[in-house]
Amino acid sequence: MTEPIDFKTIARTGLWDKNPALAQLLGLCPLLAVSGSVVNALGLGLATLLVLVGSNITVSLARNQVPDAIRLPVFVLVIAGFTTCAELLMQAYAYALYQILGIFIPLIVTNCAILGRADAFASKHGVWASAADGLAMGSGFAAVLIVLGALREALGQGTLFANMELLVPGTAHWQITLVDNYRGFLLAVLPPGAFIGLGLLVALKNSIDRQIDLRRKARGPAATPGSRRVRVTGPL
Amino acid sequence: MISPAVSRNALVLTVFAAAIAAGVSVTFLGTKARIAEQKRHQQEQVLSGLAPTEGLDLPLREAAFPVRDTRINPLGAPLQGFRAIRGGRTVGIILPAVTTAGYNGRIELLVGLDAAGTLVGVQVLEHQETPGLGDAIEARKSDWLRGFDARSLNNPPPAGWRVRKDGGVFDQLTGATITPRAVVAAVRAALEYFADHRDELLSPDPSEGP
Repeated sequence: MTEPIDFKTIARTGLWDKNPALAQLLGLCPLLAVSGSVVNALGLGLATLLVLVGSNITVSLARNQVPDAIRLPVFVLVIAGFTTCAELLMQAYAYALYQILGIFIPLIVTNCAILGRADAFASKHGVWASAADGLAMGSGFAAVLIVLGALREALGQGTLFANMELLVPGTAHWQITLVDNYRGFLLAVLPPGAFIGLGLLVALKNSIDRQIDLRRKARGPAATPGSRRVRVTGPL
Repeated sequence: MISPAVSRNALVLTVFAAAIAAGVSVTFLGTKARIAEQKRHQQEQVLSGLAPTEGLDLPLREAAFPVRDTRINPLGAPLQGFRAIRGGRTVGIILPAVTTAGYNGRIELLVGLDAAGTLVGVQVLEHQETPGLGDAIEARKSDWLRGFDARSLNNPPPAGWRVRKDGGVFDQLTGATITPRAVVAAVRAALEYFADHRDELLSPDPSEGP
């Protein structure tokens, strides 16, 4: 409870270092199924983000009341409750989008990224840190969904932001047609395209991480604690 | 003898289950009316594109009748058609049409006709066709469905009731031929059903279906 909260680290961990989709490879079922277009990706990303923040906060608040033995059933209950509420609210206020995302909203319950954060983080940290963690992890997940959605929509249909008015009324003009009379690229639209696209994104992240690593090493071991140079400065 | 740890666990679990059920119930009751309203609005919007809505004796939604014919309802699901009744006369008919000949699963349509058997419009209610290809049959994704407007059983002549690739007059969709082929056949089946049951369908008693 009293551990210092480093929001910068939380944000970096969720968005990049341990990104649920690219590093932990969690929640792939909805990720691969719904990333066919930007509007679908954005809708599911937002719903997941809401459930993740809500469940993290609730789990964190209840963490001292829940015995270890039954923590997982309780977390699943909390997540299922939030997901059902999110589904009802989407039905009431964004019916058109609900009709598209349909069966994938209940599937948020089975997204391991959410249960994972409840167990690994929220059950051990305070409310603010847990809310921040939910926000960071949810945004990281949503960001990958949207990038993958944009990739597949651009390759598969030659457009970007098509049908955005389903999510935000009055945004039909957001659609960008990249190629006129595009014949469509079936592979990108179908599930194999999602796997290939995600694989490429994971590879990209790994290669960026390696570049950063190499650059850090090239700068020398100066900052490594416990190195010989540190010891030289101490009393001999 | 139940150990204290077990009974404590049971108690905590019960309390949580009750609290979460209460939370979900509150959300459900709070959104119930709005969701029903959204569904009604959605149905009204779909129906209003398929039949006249002005000056009807009763709203289209309420002039429903069951349709069991296996030609347009091959799965035997409980499907409804709708009558547009004005001054005691049926001026429009909305027929359901289901086909399993699509690329993936069944496609559910509503076909709107006037009393002479001319198509007013066609709407897709449900389908699981390939996103980005077959889903262009949805009115909001492309205007392909408008190609049925003002058609009838003899316009085009029977041989023309096919997609262009099969020698008919209806466009296929880029990258998807199976989906439009299924929809064209289903619309044609609905027209044939209307032709065969014209008198019963136009009879003004809204509770009776053929």
